[in-house]
Amino acid sequence: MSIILAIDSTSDDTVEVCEAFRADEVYPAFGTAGHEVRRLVNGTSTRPALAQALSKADVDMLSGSGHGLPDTFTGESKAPVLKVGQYEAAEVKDKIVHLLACLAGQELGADLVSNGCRAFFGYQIEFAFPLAAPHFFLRCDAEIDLALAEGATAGQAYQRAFAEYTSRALAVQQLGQPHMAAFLLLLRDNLVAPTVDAKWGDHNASLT
Amino acid sequence: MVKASTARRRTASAAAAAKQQRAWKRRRRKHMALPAGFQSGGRRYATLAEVMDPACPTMDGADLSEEQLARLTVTRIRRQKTFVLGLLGGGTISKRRAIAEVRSGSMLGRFLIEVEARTIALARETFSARPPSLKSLKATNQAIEGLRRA
Repeated sequence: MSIILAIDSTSDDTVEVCEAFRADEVYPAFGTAGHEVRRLVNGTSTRPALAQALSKADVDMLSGSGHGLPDTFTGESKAPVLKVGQYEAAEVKDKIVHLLACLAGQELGADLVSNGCRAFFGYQIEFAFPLAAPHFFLRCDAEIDLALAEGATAGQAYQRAFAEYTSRALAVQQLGQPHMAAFLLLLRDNLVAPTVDAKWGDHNASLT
Repeated sequence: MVKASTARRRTASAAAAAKQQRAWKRRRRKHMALPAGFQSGGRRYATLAEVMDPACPTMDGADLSEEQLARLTVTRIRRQKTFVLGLLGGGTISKRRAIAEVRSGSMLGRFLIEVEARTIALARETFSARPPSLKSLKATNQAIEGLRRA
């Protein structure tokens, strides 16, 4: 059994949709697979709460959603909870980190890995999508957590997410919706993970 | 003997595919009329239909400057009937804000330019083919239903 620390911001409508989706579709899957999920949400998605929770050596993975900048992942009220140069290496050592957020793949991801994080998943671009179908997009990213929950390696989790984005893009393109397909393919191509480059960790890392 | 419930499901599936095919044709008409490049002089927009017509001299894709790509993106966003994006941590992006982001050259603006460039490339690919058959649309609908349920 692994321990998953889940941190979700609810500071605006879009991240609220995201938090609700993950609460319904992602976190129960960790439980079903026999893992324990500890949640930091609403008022508890703060820097002090995250630092305290990560300082416990038993946490194996951090999965978060919220606002991101190239060097920062934020929590409640968009206050930084993980920022390059402002966290202890021990907080991320030997952990897998997945951040569903804009841009954090640019600098923060590699910084976490250089401080001992085993594998990082995130995006190098803005995570934007047509609001008419948020779950259609969030489900692709969720494939990373679902795969890891089932014991997949970081490399396999990336391949599953990549395949999910691709199959959904092909399906909507077939229906004559190239705009939706373009969003899916851009997000897919800007998802970073150990498979894309070793600076994002070890593709053999897993929760088992 | 086919059960009544199975027959009803098949009829509904065929009706859904026929509806999708009509929607595909409607989307093709819409995309073909949208600006997708520039006339060879570089001043007037060229529609996707003109860009796809070999007899029509146009500039598109890699031929376009950053300024032309931004202009094209603004016009395409403006022409969309409904444009609402969700940006993680950035809330809802309205048409007005999207246009302002493109004009300011922000990271979100650059993302939107890339989305439109990719959309044009995919639209060329999608709409240069014949409309999908009812059979293939049924299969796609089933695949999407499966993806939604998964």
